[in-house]
Amino acid sequence: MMATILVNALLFYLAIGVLFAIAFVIVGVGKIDDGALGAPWFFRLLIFPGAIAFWPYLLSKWIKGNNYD
Amino acid sequence: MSVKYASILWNRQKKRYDLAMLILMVIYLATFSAIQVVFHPNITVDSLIIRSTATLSFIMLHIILIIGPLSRIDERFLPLLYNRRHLGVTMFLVAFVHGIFSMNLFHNFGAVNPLLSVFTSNPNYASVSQYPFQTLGFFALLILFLMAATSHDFWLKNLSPKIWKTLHMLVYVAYALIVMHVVLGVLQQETSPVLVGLMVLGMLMIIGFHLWAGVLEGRREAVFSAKESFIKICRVEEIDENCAKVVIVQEENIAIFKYEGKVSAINNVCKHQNGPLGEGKMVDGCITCPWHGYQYLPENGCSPAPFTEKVTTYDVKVEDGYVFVNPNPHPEGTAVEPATI
Repeated sequence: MMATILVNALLFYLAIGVLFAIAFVIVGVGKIDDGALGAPWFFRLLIFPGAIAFWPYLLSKWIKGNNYD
Repeated sequence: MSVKYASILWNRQKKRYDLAMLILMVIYLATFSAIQVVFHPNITVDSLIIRSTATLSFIMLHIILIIGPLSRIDERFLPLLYNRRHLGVTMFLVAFVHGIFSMNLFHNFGAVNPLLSVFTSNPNYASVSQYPFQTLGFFALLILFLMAATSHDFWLKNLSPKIWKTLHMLVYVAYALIVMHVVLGVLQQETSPVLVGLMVLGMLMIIGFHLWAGVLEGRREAVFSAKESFIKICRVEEIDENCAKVVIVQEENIAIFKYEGKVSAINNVCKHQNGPLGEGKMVDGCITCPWHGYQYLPENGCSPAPFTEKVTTYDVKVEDGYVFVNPNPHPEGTAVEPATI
């Protein structure tokens, strides 16, 4: 029972992460890091898996707005 | 560094590195498969893939863990370190193939979700010989995924170097999980002394090289504790041309470089991945990190334009053939007049 809940929670987290990551690599990445503005699509593909895993952290950075160094 | 991101920072050396890695991987997979077919003529393709990717990724993980201390012991191994992240990502992909094929072969035949089946099909969590060892492999693979997914410099900057480094230090947890995965898994069925011996040898090599490098590093770093403004460090000739002497003074980790008749001191810790700048050399007038080639000007601790990394700098002087350094750091990127020899 516990395993079912945890696995379903993980799958739910990943499903949201995939949706977020699509928007993030298209729009969001350039909002939080100026080094990503105009970066090639292969770069966006490379950071896609990480965006799925770390979507809550990236979402909070995106909401806070531009924080270029 | 801090300019527009490239997808993959390839250069001639890294391409040769990757090509050599791929050739060796193909040779290993072909040799291992041939031996398996000879000794197990009825082996299925799935089993062959699971076994070959398991052993290959485990060997690659050993190499990855040994490269770091090996390059600190002998700088001739440094070229192996420069492209370790490609080796790491490739190792994860090989381990991922192992995980997917294992899950498909052992957990994809019922109505239960295969991922759920990994955790529930074998409930003998209290047993050693029957332990559901695949769960350990799952968590190791999860760590390796997080590391591979964050291997690009984008993540180093946006997660912060401290979090990024902590995340990537989890490779040692992954290694421990994989060792347990092997011990509670394959070694419960195949008790060949050769397999056990190879695994113990691998563990001893990893532990031994780390201890060896730690002892050497401790000897190289002179530790000073004085309250004077300038501390006498060493004679000028004790520092090789275009190289540094690393000292720790009042908890400041300082690299003192000698070059072109001058001496400069900057913080020893690279802004990229905390690499030891003092173990690097001067290349084209810049202090060059031995880990990934990040560069800093010795006079001000700044990366050359257009890059923006900065480290702290220190006052330094040369008197009567001795090098003195003031351990009170200037703010990052502050220009300091080099001492003339």
